[in-house]
Amino acid sequence: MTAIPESSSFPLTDRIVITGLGAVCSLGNSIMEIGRGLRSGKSGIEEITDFDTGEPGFSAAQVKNPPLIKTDIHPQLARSMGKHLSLLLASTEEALCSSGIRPDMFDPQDIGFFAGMGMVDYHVEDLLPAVLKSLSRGGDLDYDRFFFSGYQEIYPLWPLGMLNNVVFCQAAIHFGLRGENCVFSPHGDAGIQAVAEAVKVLREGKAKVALAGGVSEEISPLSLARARLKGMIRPPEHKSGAGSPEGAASEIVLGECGAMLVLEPMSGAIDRGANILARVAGFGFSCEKDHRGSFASEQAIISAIEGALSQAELGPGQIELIMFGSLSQNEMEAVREIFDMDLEAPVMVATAKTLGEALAAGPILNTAIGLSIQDLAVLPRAICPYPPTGGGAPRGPSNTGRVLINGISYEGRCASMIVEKTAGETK
Amino acid sequence: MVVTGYGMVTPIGKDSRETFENARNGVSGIDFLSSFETEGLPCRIGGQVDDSWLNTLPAKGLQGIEKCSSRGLKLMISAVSEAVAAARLDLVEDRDRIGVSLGYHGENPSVEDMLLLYRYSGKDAWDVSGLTKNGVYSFFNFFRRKPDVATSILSILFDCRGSNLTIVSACAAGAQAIGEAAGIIREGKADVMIAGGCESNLNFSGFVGFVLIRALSERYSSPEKASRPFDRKRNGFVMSEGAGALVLESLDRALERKAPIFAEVLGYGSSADAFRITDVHPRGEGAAFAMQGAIADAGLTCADIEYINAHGTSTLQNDQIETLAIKKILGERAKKIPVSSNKSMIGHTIAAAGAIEAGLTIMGMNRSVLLPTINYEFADPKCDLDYVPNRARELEHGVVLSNSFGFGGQNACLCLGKFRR
Repeated sequence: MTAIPESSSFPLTDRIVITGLGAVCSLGNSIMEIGRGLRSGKSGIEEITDFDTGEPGFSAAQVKNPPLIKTDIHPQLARSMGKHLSLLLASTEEALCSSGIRPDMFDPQDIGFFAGMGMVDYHVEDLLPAVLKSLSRGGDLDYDRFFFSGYQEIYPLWPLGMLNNVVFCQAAIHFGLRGENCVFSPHGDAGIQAVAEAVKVLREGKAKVALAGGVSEEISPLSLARARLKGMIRPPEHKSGAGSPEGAASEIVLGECGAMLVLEPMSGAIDRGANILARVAGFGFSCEKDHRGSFASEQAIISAIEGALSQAELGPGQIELIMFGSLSQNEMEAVREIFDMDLEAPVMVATAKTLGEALAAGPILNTAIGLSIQDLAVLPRAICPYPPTGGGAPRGPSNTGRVLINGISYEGRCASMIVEKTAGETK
Repeated sequence: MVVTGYGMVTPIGKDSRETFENARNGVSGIDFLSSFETEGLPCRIGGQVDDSWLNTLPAKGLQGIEKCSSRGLKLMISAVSEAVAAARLDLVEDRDRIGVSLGYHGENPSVEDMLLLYRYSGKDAWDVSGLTKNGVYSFFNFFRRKPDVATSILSILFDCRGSNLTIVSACAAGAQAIGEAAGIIREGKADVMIAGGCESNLNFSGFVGFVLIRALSERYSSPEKASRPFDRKRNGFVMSEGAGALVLESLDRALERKAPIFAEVLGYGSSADAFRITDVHPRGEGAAFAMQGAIADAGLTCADIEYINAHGTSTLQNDQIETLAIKKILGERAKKIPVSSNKSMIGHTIAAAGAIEAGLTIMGMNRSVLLPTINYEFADPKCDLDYVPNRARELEHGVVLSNSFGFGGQNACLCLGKFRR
C-alpha cells in the first residue's frame, strides 16, 4: 500500500478515495482516447455543422459520435433524453469498469449516485408539429387553434426531456443504483457539489461506494443562444482570434462531456484490492458575482480555493497541479493571488482551450485528466497557461502530487476540490 | 441541527400562519385556473397563489434581477423573506458562512416564446437565426429558465455568500435541498443555510406536459374535491404553485445568538427506485429505504416515529405504494401511526412540496395538531392506514417523517423533531 503522507488531510478512517474514472468528450469516448488526443495536441473544437447556428463560424467541442450503450430503454424515451443519456451511461460504465466493481459486488442500496446535470433544453422537433398545425394563413400562430387542438401534436414525452433528473434516474435504473442520491444543477460548480455530497455520504457510512460526476449541456441552438446572450461566447465576426497564452481573455466555446468518478472509503477499497488513484482531500465553495454579473468574482474564487486548502490542511505551496475550471480572468487572478507564480508554481492546465467548457461535467473531466495523465510535460502548451513562455516546460511526472480542481459557474457560484494522487497500487 | 425560521406561500396562504390555519380548517386551495387558457384541456384546475401575496424584491435598483426572476423565484423570495425575518438572520454578520440550497426547475417557455424562438420560415424548417438578434428574444427568458440563476439571485438578495446549490430532483427536490443543507452545516462548511424549494408550473407549456402524460386529475365533481389522496376515487394529482423555506443552523450557534428554535432536523435519507422512469417501484422499496435512511440518520428506530407527513399525491400508484412502504418500515405499528397529506388541500407544488410540508409539519408539532387529509370519502382497501381523514386532530407528537418521492424514482425523507431544551 502506498505510504500516507504526513500532511494528509483526514484521519485514516475518514479518508475517501477515488478508484474509478470515466469520461466521454470531444476528443474521445474513454479516458484513454482523451489522453491520447490531448498528448497529440489535438483540439476537440470544430465548427458546428449539425444544426443551423444562424451565422456561420460558430465552434464547439461536440461529441460527434457518442458511444452506444446497449440498454432496454424504449427508443421514444431515449429520444426524449437526447445526448445526455449516452454521455452519462458511457462515462458511468467506464468508471465502474475501471474500478473493478461488478454488479453483484455491492447491495444496490449501498451504492450512492450523485451528479451535476447540465441544463436541459426542449427539442425543436417535439414542438414543431403543434405550431405547424396551428398556423394561420398568414403564417402567424393561431392561438385558438393551438389551444384547442394544436397542442395535442406536442410530443407526449416532451416533459421528460425538460426534467434534469430523468436521465440521471435512467442511469440509476440501467446500473441498478438504489442508494443515496442527488442531482445538482446545472453549471460549472455542480460536478464538485456532487463529489462533495458523495464524500459526505461515504464518510457517514450511508453508502459503501458512490458514483459522482456530471454531464454538460447538449449543444443546441438554445444552448448556443443562451451562452451568446449571456456574453459567454461571442459571434464569430467579433472574435479576436487565439486566446492569450495565460488564459486571460481567451475565447470561450461550449463543450460536451460526461464524466464520472467512483469513490469509496479507503478501508473498503483496500479490502477489495481496488486500485486507489487518489484521496479526496478537501472542498471549498463560495458564491458572489463579479461586477459584470457574468462570472464568479475573484474574491469568491479565492474563498473557494482557500476553503479547499483549509479543509485539506495544505498550504498553497503543496499544490502541484491546478486544473482551471474556466478561461475567465477572475480565476487566473484568484490563482495569482494565492499561489506564488515563480518557478516553484504549480503546473496549471486549462483544458477548456481544447475541450471547451463542459460546465457541470468540467471539473470531473479535469479530475480524470489530472489523475490519468502521469507526465504533465507531454501536455501541449496550448492548454498549459503556466509556467509562461520562457519559464521552462511544465513539471512532471507527478505521481503523488496534489491537484486543485476548480469549477466555476457563470452565475457567481464556484467550487474547488483537492485530490492527492497515489502511486496507484494498494495491494 | 435546528430550524430557526420558516416561511411559505401557498394556494391557501400568503405565509406560514395563514397556510397552517387554513389547512387546519381543511380549506382547499384548488380552483379553476385563471393564469392561462385551459379551454379544451382535460384538466382545468390547479392551486394558484394570489398575485398580491408575492413579495416585491427587497432591494431597489435591481431591475436586472427583477427581469431574471421567474414566478417560481418570486414565490421563493416571499417564503425566504418570512423565514429569515423569523430567524432574525439580518443580525448575523458573517455572511460568508450563510449558504442557500434550493430545489427548483426553472421557468417553462411560454407559447409566445415558442413562436419567437422558432419563427417559421415557410419551408418546414425553423429559422433560429433570429434567436440572438437584439430585440427578438430577451436573454432574460433564458435566465428565468435556469434553476441555478434563482439560487444565485437569492444569495444576492439575502446577502448569503457561502455554499450555494441547486437541486433538480423533481418532486423530491425541496426535501433534498433541506437534507443537503443540513449536511453542509454538519460538515462545518456553513453556519447557516437557507433551504427549501419553489415551483410554478401553472402556465400552458408547464401544465400541458403533465396533461400529455396523463398525470393530472381529470375526473372531479368540483375543483376542491379533485385532490383526494388515499381515497378510492382518486385519479391523478392536482398541479399547484408555491414555495417553502427553512433556516437551518447548528444548535450551539442558534443558542449562542439567541435565535428562536422551532424544531430539529434529526435525519435525512434518500434513495433511487431504479425501476422505471414513469412508474414507482411496485413494492415501494425505494420509498421504504429513504424512510429507513432518515430514521437511521437520526439515530432512532421505527418505534420512535409518531406521525408521517405523506407524499400523498392523489395518484393511484403513489398512494398505494407509499402505504405499502410505510407498512414495510413500521410493521404492526403502521395502522396506529397517523399519516396525512397536505396535498389534499394545497395540491402538488413539485419542488416546493417537500419544503412546504416540512414547514407545516414543524408547525403541527409545535401546536400539537395533525393536519387532515381532506376529500377522504371512499376507503381504498389497499390504502388502509389512519390518514387523519377530513378533520385536523389534536395530538402531542414529537418525532415525524416527511416524505417526498420524485418523478423518475428519486426518493427523499426528512426526520424532524420537536425541539425540547
